Amino acid sequence: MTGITRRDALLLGGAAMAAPGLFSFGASAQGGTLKIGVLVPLTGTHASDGARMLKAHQLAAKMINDTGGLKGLGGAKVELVVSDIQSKPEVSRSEAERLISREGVSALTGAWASSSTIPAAQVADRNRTPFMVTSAVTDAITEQGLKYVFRTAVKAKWFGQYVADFMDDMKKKGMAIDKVALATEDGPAGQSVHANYASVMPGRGYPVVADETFRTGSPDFSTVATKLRTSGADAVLSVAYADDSTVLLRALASQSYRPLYIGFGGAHVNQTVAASGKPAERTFGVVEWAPDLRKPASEAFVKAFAESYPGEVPLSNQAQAFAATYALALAADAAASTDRNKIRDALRTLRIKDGPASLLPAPELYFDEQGQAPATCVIVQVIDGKFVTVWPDAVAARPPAPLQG
Amino acid sequence: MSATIFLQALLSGLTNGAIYALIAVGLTLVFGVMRVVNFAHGEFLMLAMYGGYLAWAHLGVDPVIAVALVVPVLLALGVGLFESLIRPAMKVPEINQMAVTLGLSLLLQYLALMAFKADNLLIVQDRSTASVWIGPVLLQMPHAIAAGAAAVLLLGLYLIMRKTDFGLIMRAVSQSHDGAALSGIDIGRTYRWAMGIGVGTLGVAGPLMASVLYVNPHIGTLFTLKAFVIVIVGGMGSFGGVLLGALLVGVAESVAGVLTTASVAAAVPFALLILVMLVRPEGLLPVGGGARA
Repeated sequence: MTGITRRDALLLGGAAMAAPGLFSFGASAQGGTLKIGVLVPLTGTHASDGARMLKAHQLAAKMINDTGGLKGLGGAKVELVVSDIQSKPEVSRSEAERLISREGVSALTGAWASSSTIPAAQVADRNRTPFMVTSAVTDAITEQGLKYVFRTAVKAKWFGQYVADFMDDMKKKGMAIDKVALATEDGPAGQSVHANYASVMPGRGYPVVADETFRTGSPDFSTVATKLRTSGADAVLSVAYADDSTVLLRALASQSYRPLYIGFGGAHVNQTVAASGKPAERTFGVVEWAPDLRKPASEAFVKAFAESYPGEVPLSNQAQAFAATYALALAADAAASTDRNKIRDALRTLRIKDGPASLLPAPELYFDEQGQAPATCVIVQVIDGKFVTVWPDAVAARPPAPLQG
Repeated sequence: MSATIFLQALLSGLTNGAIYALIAVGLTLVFGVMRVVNFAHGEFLMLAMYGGYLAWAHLGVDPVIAVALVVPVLLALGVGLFESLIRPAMKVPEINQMAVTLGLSLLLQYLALMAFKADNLLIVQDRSTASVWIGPVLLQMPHAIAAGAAAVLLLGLYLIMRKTDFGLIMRAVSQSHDGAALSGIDIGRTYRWAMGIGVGTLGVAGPLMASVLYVNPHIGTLFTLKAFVIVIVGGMGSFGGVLLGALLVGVAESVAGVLTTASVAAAVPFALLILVMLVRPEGLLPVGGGARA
C-alpha cells in the first residue's frame, strides 16, 4: 500500500541530512489540509484488527470534513496518510519515520498492539511529532517522560481498580463477594493483567483463593474449572481470548458453577462469546467502551458508523481510534496551525466535554502532563445473548441483572 | 493438590488423549503407508469442523449424525489431494513434498479466511454444557462423545488392517513398496486409498471437535504440531503407537498443568518427544515391533 524502495530511502536520508529544516517547515505549509499519519496493521496476524481500526479513523476524518473541516484552519480538511505496519514492530518504526520525514504529517496515530506502538511512539517523540496512541494499554507508554506522546486508551494497571470498584458496588447491592479466583491465559496480555489483578485485589479486600493459568487453544478446561469451583471463590476474573472464553464458560457451566464472572477487554466482549448461549448468560466483561453506552456522542458515533459501514457495530477499540483522530484534529483546530509543536501544546490544554470526540465513558477527554487521558472502563453483562452496559450508572443502559435467571 | 483435582486431571488427560488420537491416526496411516508427511492435516481437520458446523447451522443436523455426511466429503478430498498434488510430489525429493503440503496448509487457511471470515463459529446445543459425573470427577458430554468415537474409530481401523485383504495390502505396501509392487499390488491405488482414509478419518473428528471447541480458519494449527509429536512418540505408522502416544501426551499435559503452570505444561509434549527420541528413536510401539499396524 505504501511501499518505499531502497533508492527512495537513500535519497530521503540524503535529503534529510542535507536540509534538516526542510521537513519540519514542510509540516506547517500544506495549505488547506491537516495531514495525520495512521499506523495500522493491514496485513499479518493483526490484519483484521487493523482493518477495523482504519474504518474508525476514516469515519472521524469523514465526519470532520463533511461538517466544514477545521474552522481554526480556515476550513482545512483532514487528510489521513495510511500506512500498513504489517503487524511488525520494526515496520511500525520505519513507517513512523517515513510518515514524519517524507510525508510531512503533522501528527501520528495508531498502532494497535503495544509492541508496535512503543517503537513508533519513540520515533515520533524523537522527531517532535505528536503521537496519539489508540489502543495499546502497556503502562510504560505514558510513563517514560515522552513529551509528544498522548493516549486515549486505559492503562493496563487501572483495570484492577475498576473491577474492584464494580465489585464494591455489587456488594453494596447485596451480592456476597468475599473471595476471588483468577483464570488467565499464559501469554503477555494475560500475564500483564494478571499481575495487576493479583496485586490490586487483596488490598481491596478480595483475597485471591485460586490462580489458574491456561494455554490458548486448550481443548479441555474441566481441570481448571474444577480448581476454580473447589476454591470456593465467589468471583472469577478471567483474561482470555474469545476462543478460550467460550470453552472455559462451558466447562464452568457443566459443573453448575455460576460465580460472578468478569472477562477482560475487547477480546472477551465479542459477540461470539455472548452467542455461546446459557454458559455466557449473565456473565460480565470489563471494557473501555461499549456501543450501547448512554452518552449522546457515543450514540451518534454508533449511528454514523452503521451508516458508513452497513450492518457493522463498532467495538471498543474503534471508539478509541475515532476519539484519537478527532482529538488530534481538534488540537490543530485550537492551535489554528498544522505545526507539530503547536498541535502538541494545544493537546496539553485541550478539554473535550461534548461533541463527537466525547464518546468514551470518562466525563471529559483531556491529556495530563504525561499525555495520558483519564480514560475509564465500563462493565458489560450478557443479558439475553447480548452484551449490555450495566455499570457505572452514569452511562449504563440498564442496571446489572441477577446472576441466576 | 487434592485427590479430586488429580483424578479430574487424569480423566481430562485421558479424554484429551483420545481426542488427539482421533486426529493423529490419519496422519500416521498416511505416513506409514506412503512416507509422506502431510503438514496440511490440521487444515483438513479445520475443513471437517466447518463441515460439521455448516451441517448443524444450515441443515439442523446433529454433529454426531453429521459425521456420516462429512466423512465421504473428506474421503473425496483426500483422494483429490493425492491425485492432484501428492502423486506428482512423490516423484520429487522429500523436502519438496514437505514444501507442497506446507504450502497447501497455508493456502487452505487463507481460503477459509476468505470464505468464512476470522470470527469463531460455535455449535450451541443443550448437550454443550451437559456432563457425566464419575464419582467426584466429571466428563463433559461433547468430550465424552469425541473420546468414544476415537475408541470406535481406532478399533475399526485396527480390524480393517488386521482382518481384511485391503488391510493386508496396506500393510504390505507399508513394509516394502518394492516388495508389494513385485507381488502385483497396484501401489498407486493403494496410496490413493491410504490418503483417502487418512484424511477421511478427520471427517469423524471434525464435527465432534466442532462441538467441543469452536471453528475458525486457524484452528488446525492448534493440533498439527501435537499430532506430529504423537505420531513420532508412538512410532511412525503404528496404530497402537498413536493411541499410546496420544494418551501419554494428553495425561502428561493435563497432570503437568495441575502441578505447574500452563506454560510448562505446554512444553511437556515436546520434552516427551525429545526424551523418546533419545531413548527409543524408533518410537514406543514401532511398526516393526509387536504391535504392527
